[in-house]
Amino acid sequence: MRLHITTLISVALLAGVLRAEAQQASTPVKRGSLVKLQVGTIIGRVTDSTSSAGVERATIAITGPSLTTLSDRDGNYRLTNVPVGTHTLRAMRIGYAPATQSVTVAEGQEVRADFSLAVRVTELARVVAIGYGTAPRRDLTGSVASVTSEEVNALPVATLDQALVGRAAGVEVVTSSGQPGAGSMVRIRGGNSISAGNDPLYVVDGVPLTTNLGDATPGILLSQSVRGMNLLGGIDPGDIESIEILKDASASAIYGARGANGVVLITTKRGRAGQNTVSFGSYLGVEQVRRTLPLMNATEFATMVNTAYTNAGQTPPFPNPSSLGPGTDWQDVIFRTASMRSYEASVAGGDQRTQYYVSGSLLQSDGIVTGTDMRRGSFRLNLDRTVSNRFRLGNRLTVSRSQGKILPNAGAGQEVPSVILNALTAPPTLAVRDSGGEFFVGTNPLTGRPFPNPLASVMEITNEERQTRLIGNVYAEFDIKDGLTVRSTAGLDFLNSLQDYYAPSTVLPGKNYSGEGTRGQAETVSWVAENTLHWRRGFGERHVLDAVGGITFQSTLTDGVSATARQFLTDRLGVSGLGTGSVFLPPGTTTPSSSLLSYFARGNWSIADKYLFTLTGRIDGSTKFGPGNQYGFFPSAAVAWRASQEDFIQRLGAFDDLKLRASYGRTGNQDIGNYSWLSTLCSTSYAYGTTRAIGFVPCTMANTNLKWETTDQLDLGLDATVYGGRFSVTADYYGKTTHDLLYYVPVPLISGYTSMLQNVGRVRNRGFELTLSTANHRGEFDWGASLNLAWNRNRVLNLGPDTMLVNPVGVGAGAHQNPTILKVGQPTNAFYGWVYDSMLAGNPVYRDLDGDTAITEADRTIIGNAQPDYTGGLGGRVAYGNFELSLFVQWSVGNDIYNINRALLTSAAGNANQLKDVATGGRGIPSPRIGNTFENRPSDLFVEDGSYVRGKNIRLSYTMSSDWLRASPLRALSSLQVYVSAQNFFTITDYSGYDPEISEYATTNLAHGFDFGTYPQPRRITFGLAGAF
Amino acid sequence: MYTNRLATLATLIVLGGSLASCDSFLDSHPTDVLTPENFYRTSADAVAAVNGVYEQVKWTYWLGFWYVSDVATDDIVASANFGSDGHRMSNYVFDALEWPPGGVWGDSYRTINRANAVLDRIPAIAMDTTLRNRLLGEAHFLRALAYFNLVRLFGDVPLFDHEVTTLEGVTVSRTPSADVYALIEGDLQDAIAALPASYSGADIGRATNGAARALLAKVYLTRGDFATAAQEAGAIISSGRYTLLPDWHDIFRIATEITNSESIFEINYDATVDPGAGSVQTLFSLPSGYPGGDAYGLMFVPPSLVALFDTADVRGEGGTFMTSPFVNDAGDTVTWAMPPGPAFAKYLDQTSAQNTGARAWMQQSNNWIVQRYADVLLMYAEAVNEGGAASAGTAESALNLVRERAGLAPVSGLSTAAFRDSVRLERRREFVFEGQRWFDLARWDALNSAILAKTTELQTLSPGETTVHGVPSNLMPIPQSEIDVNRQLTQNPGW
Repeated sequence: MRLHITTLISVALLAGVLRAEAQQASTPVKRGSLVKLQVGTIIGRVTDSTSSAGVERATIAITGPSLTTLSDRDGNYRLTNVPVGTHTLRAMRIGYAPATQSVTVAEGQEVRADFSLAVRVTELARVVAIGYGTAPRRDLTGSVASVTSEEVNALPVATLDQALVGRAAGVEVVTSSGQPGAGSMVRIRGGNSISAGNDPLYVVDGVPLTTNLGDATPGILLSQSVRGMNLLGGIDPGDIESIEILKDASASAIYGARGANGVVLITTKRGRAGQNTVSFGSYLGVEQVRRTLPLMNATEFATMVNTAYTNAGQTPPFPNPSSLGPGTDWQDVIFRTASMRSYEASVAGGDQRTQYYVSGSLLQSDGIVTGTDMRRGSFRLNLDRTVSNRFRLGNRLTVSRSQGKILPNAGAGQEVPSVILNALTAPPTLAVRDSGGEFFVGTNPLTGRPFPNPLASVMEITNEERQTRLIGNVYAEFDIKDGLTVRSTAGLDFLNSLQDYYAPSTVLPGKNYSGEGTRGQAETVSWVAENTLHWRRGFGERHVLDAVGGITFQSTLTDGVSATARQFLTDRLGVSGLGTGSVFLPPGTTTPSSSLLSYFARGNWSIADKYLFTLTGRIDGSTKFGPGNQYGFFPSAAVAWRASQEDFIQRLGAFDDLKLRASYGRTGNQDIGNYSWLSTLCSTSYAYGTTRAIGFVPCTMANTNLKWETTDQLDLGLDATVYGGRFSVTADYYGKTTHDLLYYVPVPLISGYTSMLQNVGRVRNRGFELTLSTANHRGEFDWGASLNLAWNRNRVLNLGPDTMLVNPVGVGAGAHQNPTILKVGQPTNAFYGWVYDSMLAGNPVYRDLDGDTAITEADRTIIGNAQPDYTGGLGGRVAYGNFELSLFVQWSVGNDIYNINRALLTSAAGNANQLKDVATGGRGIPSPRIGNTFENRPSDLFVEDGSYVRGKNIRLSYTMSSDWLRASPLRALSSLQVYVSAQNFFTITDYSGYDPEISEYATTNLAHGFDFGTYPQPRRITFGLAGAF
Repeated sequence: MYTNRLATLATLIVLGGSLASCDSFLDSHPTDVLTPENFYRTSADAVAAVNGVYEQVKWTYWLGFWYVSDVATDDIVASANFGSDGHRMSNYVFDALEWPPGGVWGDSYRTINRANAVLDRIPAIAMDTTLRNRLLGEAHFLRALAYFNLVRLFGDVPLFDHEVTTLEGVTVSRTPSADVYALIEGDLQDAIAALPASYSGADIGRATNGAARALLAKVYLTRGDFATAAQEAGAIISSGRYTLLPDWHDIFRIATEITNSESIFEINYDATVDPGAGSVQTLFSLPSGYPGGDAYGLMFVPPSLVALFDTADVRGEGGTFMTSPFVNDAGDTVTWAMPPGPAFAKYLDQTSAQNTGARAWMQQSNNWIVQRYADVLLMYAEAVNEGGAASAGTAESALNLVRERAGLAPVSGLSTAAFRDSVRLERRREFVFEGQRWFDLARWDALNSAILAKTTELQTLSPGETTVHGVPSNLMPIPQSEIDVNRQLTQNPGW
């Protein structure tokens, strides 16, 4: 906190110094006396802040006296009969953010006040990135969603994927856990694939990012699913100018073999000629867990244990449970009130020939579980230089360093601890520390085994990742002649991920090995070289052709190494002293590499600005497939009709814009491991006597027929804007079928293999997306709202030779291992188990669905599905004067959660802590017999409705008036805003766990919606300020 | 001028990028993986391929095997600490989904495929023929061992005698067990001919011709061919290669595993030189709280089994099991509540620092004994009593060697039926938790009565645990997942 204040003061002082120098040129304003009927005139010009072109029909008004006028065709205006005195002058135009300035009018004089209005995001005329180029939104034929920097920065988020939650229809974002910097599952229009990647392709300023966790991080952390930090964590959300999400085939086919899951294009900020603005921002957030689970206290726990022993015919171990009182609240021990701090500054500007954007940021996000955190420092330099009228060059570059302390979470039944699970099941009768003040890690008398003290685990185990990331490119553009431009780009995505793990000899699992330490490092270098030719030309009055074609090379190489040692004389050196261990595990090295060679072209043909046609094609060649299957062709076609350009529509006078779109095309997915088509040998080891011998054995079966997954997608869309731009609607229907699915088909074990990667089966996703938005202002009021809704229906159409695959993915543990099924005619991510009927003598009875009087495998059925029926987001903002209130609510309806935590907390084994309701019976908890006889099967007892409505963000800001600023000690500043916001400020859900926004196995395709020792999401209150000078 | 230079540079970059050879760019010559095309070329490759077969056998016996061979018998009762899978095995209420039988199935077929790869590919390698023959003999032995486990557990099973390289022909039906046995016998005869009697140096622990012959004797005994069983077992006895260790406890000493005179074939676990691959049976079976590290206390010896050991029997208290309070060699008095009965002492080597000071998950070097000389003696006694020719002394003398080493009086003058009971009792006492019990019960057709007795005893030991019941058959269920992916497979009756 003190650091925070110190930093703010420093920023303010720096602002003062810089401003003092800038002020030398300003002229004092002469103040006139205030006499009635003395009037003057205000003149000026309203311009677009991006293009500097005049803005027509902008409303210019002074507050107080009702005086308004409109700007002319060139943006000029003249406001006469303005009473003498100082006024707040306001300029407003649909599609632009309103602007105010203070103007002092003297009698009979003309005062000049120019406005530069910034384009507001909902505008159809906005220029959006479309991959290898840009286009005005009105000219799009495909389905492209945009998220603006305002929306990204409205929430204090550590990584950009969290800013996408609920923002765009058809873009489902599920955060895997509350671990600071954790990754998210992002699905655009549902999941296409069963075992290849389902995440979209991320392209930052033209550089496709490496997001393949398996290759890019060494994966040695004590964690089952969150294998270190989010690979999007290297990008500072504050640097983002806009995010475009390419959803349909017309938009994404330009990325061919990597486009099937949609494409997320991230454009970072650049400098603008004429400005030289220093911007700064900072916030401080305070976080807490949403709720804790109602577990037994020591008295209740001891009573339950006594019952278990009595049931087993043994002497109860706790003679007097009531004397134990509440005991240790282990949830209270591990959860804390945490803080999140961010500091950012940027300098942007330039002249007509050189523009620059320089920024730096620092983020520290402490987790709500003690001992976890994420920190990031980043730096960015974006330069654009116009060398001559025909030649431009520049660069985009960011370097970041992220580090995180990751919560150990290895699942139940593992010899390594899951801190959340251990805290939930730890006996409240045990103390955190022994009488000497050290962590109690002795024998748990109820199990006779070492006690995995959750606090000791999180405090004493080192489980960290450090990432250094460099993403950047340099480009050169040359206009060969008017309308014909050649562009050459060289890009780099460099990621160095270092993971450290050390478990000291005092706590499990280090206790088992007298200390165990591992360091792993993976360096991934992905370079891309691109050459494109862009041609834009009009033919006659009515035809415009805009074409781009190019060739790209991309190559990715990862070098990974890890080393593990055990049995240390002292734990004090930690990972630094790996060489001082006594037992050394064999080091591991990996060197996966892959390359992609692609040719692509796109043509947009516009007839009379009314009929729009787009043809796109890409040929990709990939090393991931065998000879004969390396190349794939991915075409798409789209047509759009701007009906609003037709006379009969214009005569209606209702539509500012009305466009109907249709597209069809094919995209691919090659996100599988390298060499999957090859027969390979794996290494093994065996000890003869006391000699270790290495063996090599057949490991995978060859499949030279292996090829891309292909997705064919139809999109029918409508864009409309009515009432002078006040309301707009975008609606899309889509249907897509993915065939030749890449899937590890379980093969008969009698073959000596477990599975084989094959192209089998089809999955279909169909859905409807609707986005409604409105922007209004009346007088001092300025308000807007945006609603997005998305329905996706996912169905497995074919699984090759099979009709269903039980347990298609390895998740869960113990009795709740793999309770999932993949079945033709059903959506993916279905839960599979028995149907609970009733309790009989303390044991559950399941329904005998096949009527054979025995409960067998045949009685399993689908007991839920993790996919929502529909999702939505509603954002609204109201501005009045200098205040602005924004609200963002997001929901998911119809998704189920398989709550393994609950299964463990109701299993009634009699030696682990349980929910209070286990003793008394409660909602969904029948009274089991206490003792280890509760037959714990995958069943609908543990499937819960995960629907929720969540107040994602509410934010109230106050922008200091320029008058106040000038009069204040902060006169150096040109703007200053302070705000307070709250994230996850309310959640309505029936889900009984910590938090419904959860997915332990988010990185899989087939096992979403599991809660299993998952780090819960925090709720947060944030205080911040942002300013510029 | 400056502009022109930059433009020229840019043009060069563009041209350079476009002209780069496109064909070679996608060439995939993996340097970080081995493929069959760049392997199986040298004698070292041949040795490594055989090493890989042993590795799979290591995982076969590591855990799931003895859930079937010992936990699912009347020798072991699951304690409250044991997971639900252990309880289902112990209570004999598992089904075709249960992982331990499925694990043995999958591990065995992986072993077979690796052995088949060796048998298919090594003959083409130009190398020392003596070494090649030995390696082929090892592969034959390990393949026979895997098929023997399969045919005993599951009956008719699919038969593969060549490496599987494609899915063509993989969905096959079950081969009659007689054909499987024919392959096993052929493999073992080949192994007996090719394998040496012993090894030295870094090869100690590989399969010997004695191991192959002992396994062959067990095959014949299992098939009821007592004449040939007696002949093969007698040949081992007559060879004089093996003797009983004077002290029964020394069989389980880590320091003399494999090299002791009683050992015939063991699965070697060595947590020191092969870290991350230690055995776990000590950890699972020692009582919770036993000093020197972790101990799970998952199982105990039922009173009915304890009662079978005379006080004079060194294999009883302090041998096979220990009863709380227990005074160990260090003089510590150890007490425990879990398991709630006599815990296993069999795999506790009090002379091993790993066992007594650093017990942890996969950190033990206790071997899994597949065959030892006492087994050969008892096989011989059994086979001769059932009608086999006595080629190496009387059945009585073989049985008495085992009895006397344990501290029991010799038997004499028993009827065939009484001798049968005596040798069966001796097998039970000698080999508790050594992977013999389920197979013995199944081949004696005594599995049903044993499980009936066990579940009856459980009614007082652990009320509510399970009902009184027998077994569906003398076979394990074919794993359901295998039937799911191969409709040619049929389930065993009763499952």
